Amino acid sequence: MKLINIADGVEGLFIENHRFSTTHISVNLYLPLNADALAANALLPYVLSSCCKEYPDFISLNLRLSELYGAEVGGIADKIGDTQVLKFFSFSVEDALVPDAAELTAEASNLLFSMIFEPSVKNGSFLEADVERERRLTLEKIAGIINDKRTYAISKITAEMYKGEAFGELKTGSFEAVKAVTGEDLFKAWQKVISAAKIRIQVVGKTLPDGLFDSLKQRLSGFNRKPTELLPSRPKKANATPTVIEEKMDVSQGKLVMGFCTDLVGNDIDTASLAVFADLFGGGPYSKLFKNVREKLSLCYYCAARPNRTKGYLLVDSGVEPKNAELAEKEILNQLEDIKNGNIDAEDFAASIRSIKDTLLCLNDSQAALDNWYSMRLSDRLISPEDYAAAIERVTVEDVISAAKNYTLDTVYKIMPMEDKGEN
Amino acid sequence: MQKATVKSDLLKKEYFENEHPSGLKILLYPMKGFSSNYAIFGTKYGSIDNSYLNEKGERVDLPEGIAHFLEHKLFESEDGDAFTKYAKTGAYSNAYTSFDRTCYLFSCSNRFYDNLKILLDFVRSPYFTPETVSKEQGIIGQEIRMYDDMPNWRVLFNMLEGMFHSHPVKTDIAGTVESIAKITDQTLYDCYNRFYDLSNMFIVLAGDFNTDEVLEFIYDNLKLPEKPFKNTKSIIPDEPVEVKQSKVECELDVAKPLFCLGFKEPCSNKASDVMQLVSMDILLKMLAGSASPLYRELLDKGLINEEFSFEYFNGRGFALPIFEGESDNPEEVMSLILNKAEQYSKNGLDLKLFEAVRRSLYGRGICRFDTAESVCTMLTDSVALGYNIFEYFECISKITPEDVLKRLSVFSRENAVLSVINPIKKSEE
Repeated sequence: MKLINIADGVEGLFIENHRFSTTHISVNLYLPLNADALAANALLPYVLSSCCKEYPDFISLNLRLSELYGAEVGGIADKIGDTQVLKFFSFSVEDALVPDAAELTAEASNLLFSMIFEPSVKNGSFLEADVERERRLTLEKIAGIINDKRTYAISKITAEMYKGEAFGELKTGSFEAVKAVTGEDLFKAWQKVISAAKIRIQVVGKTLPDGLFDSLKQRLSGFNRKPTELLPSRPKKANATPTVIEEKMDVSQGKLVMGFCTDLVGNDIDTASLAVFADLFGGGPYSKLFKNVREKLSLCYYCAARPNRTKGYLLVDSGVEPKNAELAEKEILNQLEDIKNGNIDAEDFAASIRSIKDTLLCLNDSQAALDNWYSMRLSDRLISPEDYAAAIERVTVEDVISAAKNYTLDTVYKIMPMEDKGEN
Repeated sequence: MQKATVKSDLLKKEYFENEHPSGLKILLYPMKGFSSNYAIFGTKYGSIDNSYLNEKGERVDLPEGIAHFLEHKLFESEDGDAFTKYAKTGAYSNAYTSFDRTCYLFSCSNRFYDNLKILLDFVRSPYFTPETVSKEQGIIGQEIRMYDDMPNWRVLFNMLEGMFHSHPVKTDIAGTVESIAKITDQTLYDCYNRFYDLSNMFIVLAGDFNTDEVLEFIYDNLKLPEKPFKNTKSIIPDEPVEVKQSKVECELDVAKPLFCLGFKEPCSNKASDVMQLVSMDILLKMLAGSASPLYRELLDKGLINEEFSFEYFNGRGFALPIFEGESDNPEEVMSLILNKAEQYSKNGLDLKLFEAVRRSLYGRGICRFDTAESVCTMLTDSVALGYNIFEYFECISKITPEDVLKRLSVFSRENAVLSVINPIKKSEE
């Protein structure tokens, strides 16, 4: 991995890997997460990747990509703690692997840059038809969250825990905010984003395409760039008394999600103990929640703990039989107490370290996973999966106990069946 | 132990095949320089293998969901469960049951042979007791309830129920709370002894390993049965050509109506051949793929969103192209798909689009050789469906528009089943 400074606030990262038949390029734009700008910024990658000046219609763009042996360009919006990231990517098959001599990588990277820097716009506005289409798709995506009750429950508890903060918003922005975005708003957002974002271009593949980083520099020279500093994410202090919310829905299985807060946030090395704690608490089949809450007591069909080490919280989410919900909640807390009290089986601890390390070392075999691994880490906390695996290995049982002691229950969110369902 | 090389001059790739004296198929795909190894030990026994002829020639019907139940229980052996054993090596392990197969898998970045030994052992060591069966009934009951709440799952099975009169693909892989209540330790042993015969099974491996060494290890460590298994073939009942019910509707707590539209193809009780797969894959992308005029029309009219997808759903005795998505007007989506198919029948295919789609399938297919997991999935498909993994690509490179045109006949109203899940009507305040 080589991190190269391309220009002020613009860096290039080449992740050399000879295993793949494709070249994967991503351009990542990082900005402070701002509730007012969130929705328009988040809509941008979708509108931009649907067409560009050269291919103003998404069908002609998709046809061209198909001709390039199924190359792909796309864009997504995400958040890393209090930072918003807009990712644009392309991937294409190595030129040598297709029957006719085609310049697939060069063409795909050109399309990627065209998509970001040469949008299809008119009179200071994106075209209404493009905005209308992508706005509708995003609104329907938001409305559709309810279809999967597990995702829905997680989105609801996150919103509740971070009410009043930009982080509490969906990564698309709220339904109302998306609905209000116009073509002009988007054009202004596009100009601002390109001017103010910290940018990283990443390449995963056999070679770094000639002149790629220079080409990005050139494209950016037309903008008056003043990259905005990104501040560390702010953790939340847990509610003195946990907030409990219960929603009734037409479901057979209940959902129980518990949100815990910690003020311990930081880079991967500093928070390695949180990762081991979370895995031992509710990760693999050796975890406390799997072994006890699911297997021994049969209280949940699934019961998993997932940490967010950037923002400083952990969610335990489970699918429960309604009649067991109360008991499951108590038992999840008991298991946490158990870890806090140092009741950790040496075999389970070793299993957890082995499992996390194994998963990390397998990352090198997936291009998309590698790109994602690096793009989700800002430059001050860039670390390879191997180095992180070494940090995991240094975590001790005592580290895990003190990590556990950092977590306090903040919010409980339940979805339970209507009165006439579920109990049979 | 001899191994045959399966080679593709087109892709410049190769893998190795061996048949163990027991009939077990072993497929090895070396991937030099990769960190992870992936392995699957599977049997060609899935949820559709739900009845068989016994030694007296009588038909025996099994409880629905038994293949899936058996998969859950096989993880437990007399000397502890497989998860605990893998925890000692750090490997990721899992298992799944589909319509036509059950697979046990692991992926790891080290201790490959230790993991392989665990896999070879536990899949060959069934251990069921009335107590463990009873406990699993509770766990799977919860899994079934979870799937009951998943609209994407429900909309598919409602369509399959409308499509098939007797083919067991219409029944949920996990069965029902009632059907799994009929399962006992004895029925599990009986199924294991019939459908886990090594001649019905396969091992596929992909990763950075020495193929001779791996093969020798498998031969040395594979547990052979003490007495011969009752190798049994399941019965797939004959299925009428007509659909059972052309529209199936129900209500769930969803934001927008979900639809699943299938078109029934007459087929034998065997799986489709490679040409059938490639020609339908191309046709579906030409009809409704992201570069097709119909896709634009559906999006412009607001009739679909990003949930829209299609696939050629096929296996032993069932083959149907299906389209799924969310729409306020699923009937209109169906009409537009049928119109487009009719247009292609009358006017022929758009050759530019045909060539673009052909290239796209080829390029995307090449990427599937980039991870050990997808290589193993391809190898598993090839064993279950009976072809080698390179044939698909050879077909893509020689397929003609005429081959694709022939497949259009399935797209008719008579062959269609439309399943819709509507949002629950809220009562008037």
